[in-house]
Amino acid sequence: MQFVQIVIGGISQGFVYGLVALGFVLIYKATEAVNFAQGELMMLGAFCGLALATWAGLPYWAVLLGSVAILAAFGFATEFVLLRPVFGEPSFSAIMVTIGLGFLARGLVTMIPGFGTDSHSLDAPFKGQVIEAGGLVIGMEHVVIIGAGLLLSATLYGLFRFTRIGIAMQAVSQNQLAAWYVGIPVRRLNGLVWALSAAVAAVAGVLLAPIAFIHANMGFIGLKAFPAAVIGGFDSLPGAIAGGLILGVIEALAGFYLPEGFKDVAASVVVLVVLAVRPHGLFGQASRKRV
Amino acid sequence: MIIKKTLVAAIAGLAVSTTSGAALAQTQGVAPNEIVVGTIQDLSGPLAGASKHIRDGLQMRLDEANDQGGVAGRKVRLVVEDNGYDPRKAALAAQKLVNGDKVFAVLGHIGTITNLAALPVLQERGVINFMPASGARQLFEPADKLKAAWLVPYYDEMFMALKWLAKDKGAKKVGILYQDDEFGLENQRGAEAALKAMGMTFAESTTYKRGATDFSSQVAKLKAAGCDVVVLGTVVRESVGVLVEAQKIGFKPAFLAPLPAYHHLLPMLSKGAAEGLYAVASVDYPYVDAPGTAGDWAKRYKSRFSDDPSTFAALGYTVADLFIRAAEKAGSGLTADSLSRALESGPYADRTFGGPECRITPTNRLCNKTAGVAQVQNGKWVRVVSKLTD
Repeated sequence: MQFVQIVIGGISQGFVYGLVALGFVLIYKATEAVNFAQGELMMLGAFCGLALATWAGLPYWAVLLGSVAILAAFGFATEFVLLRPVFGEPSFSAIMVTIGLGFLARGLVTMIPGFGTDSHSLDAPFKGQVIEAGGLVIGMEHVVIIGAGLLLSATLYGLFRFTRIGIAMQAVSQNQLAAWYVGIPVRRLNGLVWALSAAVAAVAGVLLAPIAFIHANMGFIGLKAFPAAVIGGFDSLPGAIAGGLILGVIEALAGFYLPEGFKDVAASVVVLVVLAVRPHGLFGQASRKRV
Repeated sequence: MIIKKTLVAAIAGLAVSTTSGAALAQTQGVAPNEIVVGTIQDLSGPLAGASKHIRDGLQMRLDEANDQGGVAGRKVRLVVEDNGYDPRKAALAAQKLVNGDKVFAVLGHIGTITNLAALPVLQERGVINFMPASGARQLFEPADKLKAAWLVPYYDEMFMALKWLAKDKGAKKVGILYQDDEFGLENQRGAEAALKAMGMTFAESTTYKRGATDFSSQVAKLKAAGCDVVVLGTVVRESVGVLVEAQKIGFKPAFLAPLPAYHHLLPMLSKGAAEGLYAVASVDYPYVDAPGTAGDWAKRYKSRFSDDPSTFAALGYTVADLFIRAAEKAGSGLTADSLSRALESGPYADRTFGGPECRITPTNRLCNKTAGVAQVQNGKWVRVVSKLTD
């Protein structure tokens, strides 16, 4: 029974990692750059939600929609202002820009007096509720995160797999220049992907707020979501969720059954093992461009 | 290489001897109509929330003194520098304050690693490190007239608080969950020593990395060990994370957290899960609606800064208050020596927050080695014990 409860705890946390990892995968999949500010986008989404809840007094679900819309616009603008100037440069340049963006976002948020330096909570209607069955418990916050993770990964997977725009995005990811030559509007697509990825980050931020609180450094969870994306293959959306799940469950089991400290190295060990056995991750495409 | 090193050492030695000679000749920062003091705060790093409150608390008390005519006719001016919780920046900030602004003393400097970096810079120029916001032992030991400290080390506080709580609860099995860094370890060592003094050891010991948000396996471990008292080596958010998880799985030991958890945000964020939590507390919590002097002070603070004060704001105010009172006693001939002697001629009672009185002697530079304990009752901190000693 205890084992099952610990696995449930791991699954809950795994979906948190997976939800953040989705954003990493989205941008990589479409622009072949890694967005190291993904965690910070999530933090901005959460702060947006907080502002909408405290200043505009909106209820939780409206807050969720509002911050998704704001962050989507922000993502689009970020691509236009910061990423477009390095368009066509090696993807390394774009990565450096995103690292800078992360620092900037954290710095700017802490400059807002009385708001950016404190921890805040966001009241969700389901906060504190638990589902109990046969001695096992799971928090309602986690149930919502699991639902959102499944829904988002399925929707986005469908978008990439079956729609014209999604297939165009895949083409851009494989070779930007070739895609541009065959007439795909690469720039516009990149903007769209950034908007999408920032929107996913906002969902993660607002859903995570009732458990992990809103503060300037909440984006550091990206450091855990990144290995989750790597395990999943980095270009597979369901892989991101699966990677998060594997990581969460292994962490939880290592934390309980293994000696002290193993919980924290478990993530790195799993990444190393996966990369050694399957260099392209569990769900990654085997044939990929060498960068 | 060796020659170069010796040369550098010789030049450094020469520089030290000449500058300390200069410091003896006159007291920097004290003019006929002004005293310049500095503070080093973390305005851009992880402690920015606490630092803002310390700075405001300091400024509030200094302004009150200035409004009443200053200290022996001198107005006190506060220069604020940023350390970003980075020891290199702290040393630079100290150099700027000491050499550029020529401050008389540095008040309420935040952070342990930052203080340790800045201390040699201050000592070299005979500038007092006055009641820093750190409980590090090196800031009051070895005794020195340029050191004065108010915060008790976490080790000692946890030692006293756990001994009291374990006895009060008749604890059979004590567990601990602490942050895997120097802060967490200080608390772990203090708790371990307290248990040893009672002939016990930890029934379960588990850790987390700073910034963790999931504590399910750690809490499950503590529950499986059947702990009736659990020591937390945690700050605010992590404490809440642990308490919420414990509530979820129906685990109800007596929790004891260290001083940094003693913050009004904790009961606010935890929405009931913190009910009954104990924390180390040296002063009454300055709630705006609190009775007595702490409440009156909190109202004045809030009307000035439109923000609820924390114990950090109270700390800033207390530090400035002790400085003003000692400087007033030292009178017109204010020097590092006379300020030190004025401090030693105490004790100075805490007139605002019900904290311990400050007794500094030539051999003991820590105000008071006592601890109190507060508990969350109906969503607010209430002090249940005010003065524990060894």
